[in-house]
Amino acid sequence: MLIRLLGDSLRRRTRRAAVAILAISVGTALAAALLGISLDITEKMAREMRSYGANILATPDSGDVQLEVGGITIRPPAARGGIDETQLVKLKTIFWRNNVVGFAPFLSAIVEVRDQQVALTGTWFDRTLTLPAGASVRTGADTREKAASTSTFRTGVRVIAPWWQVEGKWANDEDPGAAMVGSALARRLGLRVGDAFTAHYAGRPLALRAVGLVSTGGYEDEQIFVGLTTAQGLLGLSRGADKVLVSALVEPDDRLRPDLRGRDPAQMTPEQYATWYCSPIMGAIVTQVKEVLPNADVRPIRQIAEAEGGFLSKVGLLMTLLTATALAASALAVMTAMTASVLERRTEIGLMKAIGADAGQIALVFLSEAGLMGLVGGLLGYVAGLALAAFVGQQVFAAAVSPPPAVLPVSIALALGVALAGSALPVRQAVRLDPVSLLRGR
Amino acid sequence: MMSAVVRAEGLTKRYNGRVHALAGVDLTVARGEWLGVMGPSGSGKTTLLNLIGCLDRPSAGRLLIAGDDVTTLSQAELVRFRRNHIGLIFQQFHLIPYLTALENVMLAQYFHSLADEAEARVALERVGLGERLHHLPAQLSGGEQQRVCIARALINQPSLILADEPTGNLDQANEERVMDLLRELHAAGHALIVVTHDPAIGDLADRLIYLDHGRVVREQGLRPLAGGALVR
Amino acid sequence: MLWRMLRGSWRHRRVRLGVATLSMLLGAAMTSALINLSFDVGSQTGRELRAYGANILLLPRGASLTPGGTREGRGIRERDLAALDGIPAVVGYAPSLYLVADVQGRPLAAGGVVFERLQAMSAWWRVTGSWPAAPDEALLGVSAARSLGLAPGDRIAIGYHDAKRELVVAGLVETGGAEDNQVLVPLPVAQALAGQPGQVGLVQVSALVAGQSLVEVAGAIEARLPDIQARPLRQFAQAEESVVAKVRLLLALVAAVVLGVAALAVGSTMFTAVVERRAEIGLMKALGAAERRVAALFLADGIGVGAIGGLGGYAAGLGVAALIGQQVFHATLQPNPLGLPVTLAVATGVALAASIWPVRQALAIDPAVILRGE
Repeated sequence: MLIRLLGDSLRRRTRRAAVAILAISVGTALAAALLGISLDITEKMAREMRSYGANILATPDSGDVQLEVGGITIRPPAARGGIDETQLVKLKTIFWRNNVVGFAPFLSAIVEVRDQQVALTGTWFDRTLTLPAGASVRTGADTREKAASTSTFRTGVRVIAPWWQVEGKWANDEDPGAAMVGSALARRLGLRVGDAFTAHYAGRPLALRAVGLVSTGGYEDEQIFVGLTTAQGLLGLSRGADKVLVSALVEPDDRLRPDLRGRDPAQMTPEQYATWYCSPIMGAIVTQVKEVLPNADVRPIRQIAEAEGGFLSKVGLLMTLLTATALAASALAVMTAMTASVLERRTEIGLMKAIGADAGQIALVFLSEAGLMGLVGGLLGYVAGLALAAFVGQQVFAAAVSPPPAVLPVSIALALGVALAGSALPVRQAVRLDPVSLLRGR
Repeated sequence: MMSAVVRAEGLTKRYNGRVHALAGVDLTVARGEWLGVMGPSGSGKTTLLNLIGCLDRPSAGRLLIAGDDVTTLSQAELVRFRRNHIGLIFQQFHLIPYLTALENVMLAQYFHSLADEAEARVALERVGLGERLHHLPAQLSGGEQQRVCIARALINQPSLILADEPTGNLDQANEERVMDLLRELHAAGHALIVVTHDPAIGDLADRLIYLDHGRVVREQGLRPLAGGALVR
Repeated sequence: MLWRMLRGSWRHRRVRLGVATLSMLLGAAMTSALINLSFDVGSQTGRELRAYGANILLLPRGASLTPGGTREGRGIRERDLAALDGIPAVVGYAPSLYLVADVQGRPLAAGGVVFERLQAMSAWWRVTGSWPAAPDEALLGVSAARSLGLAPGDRIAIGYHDAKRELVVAGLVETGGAEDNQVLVPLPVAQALAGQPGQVGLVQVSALVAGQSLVEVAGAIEARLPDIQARPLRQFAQAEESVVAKVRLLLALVAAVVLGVAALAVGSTMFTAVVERRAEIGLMKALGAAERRVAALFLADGIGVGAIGGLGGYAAGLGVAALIGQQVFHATLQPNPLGLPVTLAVATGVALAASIWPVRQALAIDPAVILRGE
């Protein structure tokens, strides 16, 4: 009888039921969309923040005082080239290898060009590195596996410093004579794209050609950039770099499990350490970089890393608060809609009482109706909300937002709970009144 | 011959193109005449009333009211025509629940031209509701509601008053009261068409027609018109 | 009479109208909150990033950032920098004068800075001890401190050519950058050492990218300070512009989604409210009401709900926006002047649009059909 009653009520009152279901699904859609966006936003924005360039710096581990002027570290020749660039490919074997967006080695020297002291830096402009099949990659704090297939990836300055503005062409890493000259320096030296010039280091000449002019507004504007091997040759090194910049996707520390925040990894239990190690936070990624570059001092570039962390936390908090507001607003709206639809049917409740229904039976009828509508509306709303979230993700990040699976049960539970809560109160109230006054409609 | 308020020729109404709710009714109502319409349920009484009240359009036939052919009028013209010539009294009263008795009457004035509270008050006093002006319909008895409905029908001085089972929802005492009012209207010279299946009310008419299956099956003159001639 | 009818209808249909107004209010509140947020949030997030270093460098015209420092130019007069305060986009600036000094017998980069200005732009600096406050205190980079064997409270001797000064190390700074290998001293000390009183070599400027590009800000600075070249740091300019634009777009789209959803919810409530009154519309027609009058009555109803809900919602939304601004940015958000008109227009627009269709439909039906009941 209950099912028959529900079926009849929903069938005959199609329009009313449709409006209630519409209200529920619209509310759920909003909640699901914002929930989906806000749960995925940190990762998406983290990727955006990579346009800031490298956020991790690796330098040779030397205790001596360094004189760093104009973005160049002046080192004694003996301390040159402390990091082996052939090991850098291993950055793609760490646990968070997919978060490593790119990296580039740097080796600098002060050379003389047209009687002026100038910084010359060797680097990778645009290199394609290959990780062979069978290479050992990390799958956890102390587990490894062999890479199933050979993979290749692009890296170099062009990847980690997208803000470089180049007039002319980018230099080719394989071309020993190709140089990129900082725009301010070029102006001072009177160099133009295509011009040949000679750099002298320790009396040795190096013939170069300016294939492109770089402008960044920073120290790069005053330097000459050449391929890393060219710089190594000039310094008489067979391999090695002074500095490696790594650009990695990092999420703010508040994404770490709460009980691990602010803890020293060295003090953790193995289980806690494994969790920490597998969180995409700065500390874990720096540790993993250190594992593959054992001779280097690896540090986050705090100016970038903290700006990023602070910013991501703010945006995350903003979206969370917005979502909470939207959730509350849609819950309230659905609740009032449900309340109103029950209030309209008070005469019906009076009639049911008059023909002998008790409070429990009436509540069962109305609440199961509300539950059914909540379920249907919640499902519809969830689907619509996913579509909305996908649309926003596509527009803003040109990538699909992938809401975690938890959004589904949360949306449905929300819809059900709100629909039931919205009906329970007026039904209770109506059940208490005497049928005569209900039937008279006042 | 006296001018007729209503003249219908071959009035026909089909619903969905098949059912003949009304099948070729010829009818004339003279100025100041009280016409009773009787017949079993589904005989077409209400359809006839809706057509004459310009609430609905005939499928075929001609209908002249106060000399105008209403079948040729546009929707907007029909509305204007209705508000100037016709007063409606419903079995279900159809009062607006959130307006007081006075305001319900004023509403008809407002739609006609301008609301005039004093005039509306007089109309309600005339139906004996001078004490209940500011009550909502829910606070009035059925008879009182029907009297508000009558006051509303009168307020714009229509040439024709249509009543559909005006006492159908009333008890004996209230029925008497409403009948008296209808008699007063008739005496004041309004033309009345009253649909009923209560023979006692039918008997009050000057003339009675019986409808069955959408046709006039019988017609009965009960008393001579004020003008003396029995109009056919 | 119209007013009288509206009053009666509102009193009688309290619950229905209450629900419609409440749902309107909630929709309007979300709309107004998002409009107000999205207006200011771009500049707020931009401001957030501004605590993380300069994005424009000022150099004397003709000077360069060479390894030897910036000495070859004439220098910038410190007092000229007051002109920067007149540029609204500039949120902070820090003048400095760098020299390669002799510190405890070793060459070390020494920078003369104005500490309180620098501190506002250096949220990522980690200082152990304290920031220098007295005119004879210095901040020492951690790496330099380690190799020199100095700790906060120690005295430090800084020499340049023939000049020499002794200062107290107030704190050690760790930035992960060049400062770790530098000593920072009060600007007058560096000026005295270099023999360049009142001169600075480099000014770091922090400018908001909201509304205009950094290149434009740099242009404005050069226009006011003719002997100076302003170099936007492309790294920060580009990243900030793109990130702030993303946040803006995100908020705008979320606002649009909320707006759409709110409109739908409010619309459906209004729609049912009108559909329920179809019999009333039929009766009015039967009584001879012109369509325009009936429409006016129902639309006035919609406008009333829209205006009241919209107004209340606007206020509530403003409150929500202010609360979020306070929570997230610890700042009072500027209310968007467009917020009120847009919220009201959307609210009444939705209410009207949702009423027009059912009213028109009801008007098109013969009153006889409606009066007979469905």
